[in-house]
Amino acid sequence: MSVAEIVVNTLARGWRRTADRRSFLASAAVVGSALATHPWRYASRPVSAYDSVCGDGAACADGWSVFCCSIDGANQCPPGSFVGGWWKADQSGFCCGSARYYVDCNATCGSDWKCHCGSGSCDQRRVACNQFRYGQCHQEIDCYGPVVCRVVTCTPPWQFDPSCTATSLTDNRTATHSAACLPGDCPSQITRYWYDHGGPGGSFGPQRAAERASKAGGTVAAYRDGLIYVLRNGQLHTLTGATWDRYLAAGAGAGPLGDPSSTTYRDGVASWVHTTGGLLVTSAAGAHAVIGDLLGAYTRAGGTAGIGVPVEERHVVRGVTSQRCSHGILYGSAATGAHAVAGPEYRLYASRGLAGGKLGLPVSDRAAIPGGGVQVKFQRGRIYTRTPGGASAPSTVSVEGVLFDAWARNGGSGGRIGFPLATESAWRGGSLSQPFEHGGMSWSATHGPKFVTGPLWARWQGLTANGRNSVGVPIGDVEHRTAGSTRISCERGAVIDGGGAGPVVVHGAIWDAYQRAGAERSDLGLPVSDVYVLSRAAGARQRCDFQHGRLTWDPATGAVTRG
Amino acid sequence: MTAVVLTLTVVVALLAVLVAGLLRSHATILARLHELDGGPAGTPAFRTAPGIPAPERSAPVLLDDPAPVRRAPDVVGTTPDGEAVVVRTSGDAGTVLLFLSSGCATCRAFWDELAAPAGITLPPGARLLVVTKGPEQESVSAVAELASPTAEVVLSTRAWADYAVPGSPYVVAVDGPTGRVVGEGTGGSWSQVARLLAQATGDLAYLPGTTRRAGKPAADVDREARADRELMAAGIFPGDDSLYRDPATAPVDDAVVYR
Amino acid sequence: MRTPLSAHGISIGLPADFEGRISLRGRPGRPGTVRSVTGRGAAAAVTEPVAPEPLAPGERHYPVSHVANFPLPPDRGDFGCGAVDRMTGSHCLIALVEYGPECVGTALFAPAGMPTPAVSAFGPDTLQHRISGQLGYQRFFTVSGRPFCLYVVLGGARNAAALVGRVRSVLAATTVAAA
Repeated sequence: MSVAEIVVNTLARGWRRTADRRSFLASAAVVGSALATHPWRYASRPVSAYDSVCGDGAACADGWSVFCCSIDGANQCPPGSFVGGWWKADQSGFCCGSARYYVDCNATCGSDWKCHCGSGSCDQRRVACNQFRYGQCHQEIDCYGPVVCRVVTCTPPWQFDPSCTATSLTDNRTATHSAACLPGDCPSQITRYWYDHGGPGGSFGPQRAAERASKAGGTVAAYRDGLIYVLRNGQLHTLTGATWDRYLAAGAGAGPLGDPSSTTYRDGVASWVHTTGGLLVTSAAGAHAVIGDLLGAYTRAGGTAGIGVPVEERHVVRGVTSQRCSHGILYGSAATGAHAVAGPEYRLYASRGLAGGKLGLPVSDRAAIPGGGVQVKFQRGRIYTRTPGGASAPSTVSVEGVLFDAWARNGGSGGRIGFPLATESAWRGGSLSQPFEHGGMSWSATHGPKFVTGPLWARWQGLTANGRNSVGVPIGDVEHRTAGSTRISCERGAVIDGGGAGPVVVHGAIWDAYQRAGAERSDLGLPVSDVYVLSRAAGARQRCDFQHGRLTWDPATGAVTRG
Repeated sequence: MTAVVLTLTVVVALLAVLVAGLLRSHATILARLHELDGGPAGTPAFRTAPGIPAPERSAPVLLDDPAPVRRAPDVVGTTPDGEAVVVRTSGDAGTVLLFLSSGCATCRAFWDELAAPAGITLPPGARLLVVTKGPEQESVSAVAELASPTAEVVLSTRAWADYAVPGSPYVVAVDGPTGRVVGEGTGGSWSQVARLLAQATGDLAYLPGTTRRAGKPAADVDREARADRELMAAGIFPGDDSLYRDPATAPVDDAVVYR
Repeated sequence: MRTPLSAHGISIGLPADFEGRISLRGRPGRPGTVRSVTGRGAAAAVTEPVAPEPLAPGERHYPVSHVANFPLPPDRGDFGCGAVDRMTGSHCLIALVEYGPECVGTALFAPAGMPTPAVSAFGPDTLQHRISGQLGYQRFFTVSGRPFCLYVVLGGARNAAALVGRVRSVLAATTVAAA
């Protein structure tokens, strides 16, 4: 080969890669120049720091679709698009070694998306250009436009979008694709969940407080519209809606409720979540916290199943904390501790004036009593729910105030009169009476508490209805005025036994006359009948028979005659 | 100013050289064309060597159609992952089939060398395919265990029969464009086999550390490939006698006499 | 003469210059599956041996068939990523991707029978990711009671008519057995 040919070949090879010897010479022959110049190729595109954030294929010319958060800040499909399908990249560092899922948002038919390049910081991939669909989601939609953008998640799409099937498709070459608005390598469980739900533009909104260790042992992060927390066992939970609003109003983690320590439990009525400082219960009555001393009482009372949902926040008045629930009430104080009153005991307690009534504050939880039944103890009283002998259903009764004091001094339920059978009756004039298992009690301002048992009490009970009778309440203990006779004196009469006719009732003017005559020690002897009316006519005379005579009262004259 | 003048002087000198070369090659081309088409009237069509009579003018000789080329069979089988595959052995680039098994001791060296693919050199674009016998005669799990992530492996008893593989290890090189087997044999390691392939095919690219072929302009490569295809379509393959005949002993009916 | 490629009830008669693969992911594979190192700061894909990834609860895989007139790399995305990047103007790739039976009867998969693509149905944007010069085609359909997506990529527009003819020839030689 000649020198000239060597030179020509060398120049052709070195200067024009697309040329050959012939074309090179042809150019020289045509234009008379052997040194026609041609554009130099770029050896490579410079790699910037941004390229490492957005990964491979981030330029528009690379042909891939943009990430949705690069469009509007939210890791979710924008308006005018729908989830059309998904694929995964296995063992992604973005998901701590698990698969990362890419969800395509296809434009809806008729939407006004136009193809253009993204303008993110480094994610400049294509927007609404690639007319392609993966097809596992929303298969009821057969008309679709190009891929508007992509959503990424570490959670399998079919687990949070019911429109997606679990037909899995893979493309590991997209494993490095990312954007500045997406989390980096191996984000925390909370961050992954946040981005799965749209990230800053999604349902939780932007982050309010950085992720931190929880007082419950896991981690917690607060966002504008909710809380995401991970428990010690690794399970992730959230607080949103009314529960989150209440929690936030209570100071969130810095408040008395502290950090959530459980999942959210639900029954048909309410949901509740435990926190390190209390309980947050949400129901139709709103979201309310149960904290402090009342929390233990609420829990011991059975929570929502026992005492219902709290219907108000905790009150503190003169050292007494209280909180009403749908089926009860919580009270607490330094002297009495914290206790709940719920169910039938609460209904009676409420009718008796709650802590402001004679019963006062509860001093015990509801507890079973020997022989069946339950009781709740109060500062000045008791409430019992029992089924007395012979009864077919339980009843709830109280013993309170002055009657309770006397009853308790005499042995209470273990004393001679036993358990109360009904709540006390109030009489005109302020007297009280109350039946018990083995007798009864009465109280009057002038004579105080009295105990009455046996047939005399039964006879007195028998003539008492609706807190009324002809003789008033007993004002004395059982007396033996004469041998073989017994009597209980009442406000306006007496019940006397021993005359052979059983306990009889003497009252009114006849009683007064009997007393003046010497009562049981008089020559009349013991009464052998109640005071009875001689005829049905109005104003009819009344008479009482005695062992040795009778007394007759004429209401017209007011005179009591003996005969 | 002096520099400018010197630069211009150099440029002009180069131009003069190029023009001279251009004119000379042009003259050479004209002379060669003149010899081919017989030149002006009265000039003999060909000049033969002394003592050799000129050929008689006659109609072109019709050549028999070349026998159809038998293409190397495709490899049909499955991969250790259970993929059903048909791998084409011919095409734009060649294929090297490496027949191995999981049980042969000599094959171990190959499996180990495949695990370090930097030690495997192939001609540009060529494909290396490891072929074992099918699942009915070979342990799939053992093959999966031996195969490196980057090696392409197919289990195919049929391929062993198609290529009449006598045993493992065994290598067969298939030329891409022709689909013909251009080399086969065995050895104790890839390096031995690579030398075998380089000798059989004349392609030093099988050998590690070999100097790369001098770069050619792409258009030249395309034109040479096109010429190769046309020759092969006419039944003239590399090594064909007609490409290497001694002009002194060429038969009289040859159309061209080479100097 | 065609070479049959058959698996999972799918049978494809491959022309002489085509090769194909029918794969089913999700089965225990050999250790050492190629993958790319992910994460920021990784300047290039790196392959390293890793154990097969366990399936997520409920995850399902179905057969994916790839047919091409050029060498198919072993590591490919289900819609051909990794293979399409190697195509020249005379190449074509056919991906036949099956979906789960729950897709049968949906609007997206309503068309019945194997599609017969026409040149006019191909477009430069009908691609999983756009590569300059390539044309793509995608259809969802049901055949033999099984839902599929057909995705075809042509390496260049200049040979589109001839390539589409080859593609149709391959599809005509493809049969799908009932599920």
